[in-house]
Amino acid sequence: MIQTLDVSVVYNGGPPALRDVSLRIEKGEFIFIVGPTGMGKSTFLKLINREAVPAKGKVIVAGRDITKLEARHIPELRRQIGVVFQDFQLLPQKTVWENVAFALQAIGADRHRIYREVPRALELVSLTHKANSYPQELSGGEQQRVSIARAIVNNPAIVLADEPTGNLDPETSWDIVQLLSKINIRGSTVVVATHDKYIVDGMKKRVVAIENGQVVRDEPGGYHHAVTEELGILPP
Amino acid sequence: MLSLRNWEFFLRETFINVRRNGLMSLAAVSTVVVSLSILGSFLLAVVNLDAMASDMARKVEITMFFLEPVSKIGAQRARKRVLEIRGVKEVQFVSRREALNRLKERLEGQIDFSDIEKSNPLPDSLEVRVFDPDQVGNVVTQLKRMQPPAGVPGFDTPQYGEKYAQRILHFSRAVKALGMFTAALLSLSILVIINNTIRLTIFARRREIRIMQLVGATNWFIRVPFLMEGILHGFIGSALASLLLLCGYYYTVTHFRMAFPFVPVIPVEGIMGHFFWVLCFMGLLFGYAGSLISIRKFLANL
Repeated sequence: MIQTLDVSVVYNGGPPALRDVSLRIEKGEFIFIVGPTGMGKSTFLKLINREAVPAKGKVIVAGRDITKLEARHIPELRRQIGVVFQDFQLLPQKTVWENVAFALQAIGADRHRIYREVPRALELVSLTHKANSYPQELSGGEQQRVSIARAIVNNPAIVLADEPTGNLDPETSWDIVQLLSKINIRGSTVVVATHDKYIVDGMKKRVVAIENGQVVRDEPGGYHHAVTEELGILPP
Repeated sequence: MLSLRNWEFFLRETFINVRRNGLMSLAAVSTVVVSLSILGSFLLAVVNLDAMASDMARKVEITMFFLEPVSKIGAQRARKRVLEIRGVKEVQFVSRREALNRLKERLEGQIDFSDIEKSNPLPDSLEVRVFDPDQVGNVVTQLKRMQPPAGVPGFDTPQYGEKYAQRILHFSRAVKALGMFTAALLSLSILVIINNTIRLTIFARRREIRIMQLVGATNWFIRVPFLMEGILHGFIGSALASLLLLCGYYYTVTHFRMAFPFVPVIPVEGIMGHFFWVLCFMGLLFGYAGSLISIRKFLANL
């Protein structure tokens, strides 16, 4: 379970990136955080894995207020969270297998575990046959699937995806979001920040809209267009 | 606690990174080679200057040559008399044979001694050391006035070089002080240069570091491969610098000795072991400290 209570985030004395945000995400939930660029979606995800620290309020992850977490305990929190990026963040000098294994090696996993989990993760994202390829030899969709495999290889309780389809065509985007849904069905809580109307409307999951750092809408089975129309970003 | 498999990962990562980031590794190793070669050359010069100064300072002594060959008993009596003079620390009798042996040792292989050995032209002598080089003048005055014991031949005018000795002592002190100061300054600048080079290698791998942080690697776990890389760069660089310096030193000493056989220089064998390991240790330390400072700073700013 993830919960934020009256959370405000301020970067370098500027206007608040998030303002009094209170949100509760249940264990095993799939949720979209929508809203225009620069309105606080990414900041909300960063709060969950302690990349950002709120100026006020509480962030509770798995029953613990992580705003009070000591620096040396942050790695423990992050081992329960997988992160998927818009630009994939793969290491170009490592093969697909090495990129996924790196996430386990970096936390000191033993070889037995690595050889058990990496093939499993690659199979889940249907990339077993590309294990020895380098990222630059893959398509954008395949690279994002490697990024997802790396995020889930540690079997995290939470998966955070920041604009995971931002660099992909609509068809590939749909495949990626289906893959995230599959991961959600396997038990992970999935939080996706996106402004991709096509996938949000198609998935019919809970949608939280953030505008100017504030939650303006929270709908189960919601749509993306409602907020975009309200904001006048897209033509009606 | 880091286990064996972690170290296996660190070692593998270190070697893979060194290989894959070849240019950066080359830049770091070259920096260490150039910096330590400069520092090493300087240290070799200081060590030799210091040895020369010490050698010369040791020669702050008065030599009293007997005018004629003297018996052992006669020499002992003369020695006792000299020891009675105020300010004299020790007196050593050097027989003609011993004097010749010393000369042979010093000029080994440069002069053929077979003719000289047959009719040794060197005189017997007493070598007089004083407690304080400043007292040499007084002691010499008394030595000149001294009458040799009965039955012992007299002495030639005592040989000494007071002003020369004083200058040497001052020079020796100055060399040591300047040497330490400059070595510290050079070490600091080397650390800054190595630190900057390693910062570049860290910056080139910022994505890797970010991913490690996001998957939950501890800061220590992130640091170790960089520290090992720094140590490896430092060690390889310093080993290369040592080899270069030793070859250069061997060449220089060989030629210098031929040109100035009377100037004492430390032979290569005399410094080889020590110098090699000291320089390698310094390289290792610079590499470790440079990477530690850089990676700590980088992680703190993330």
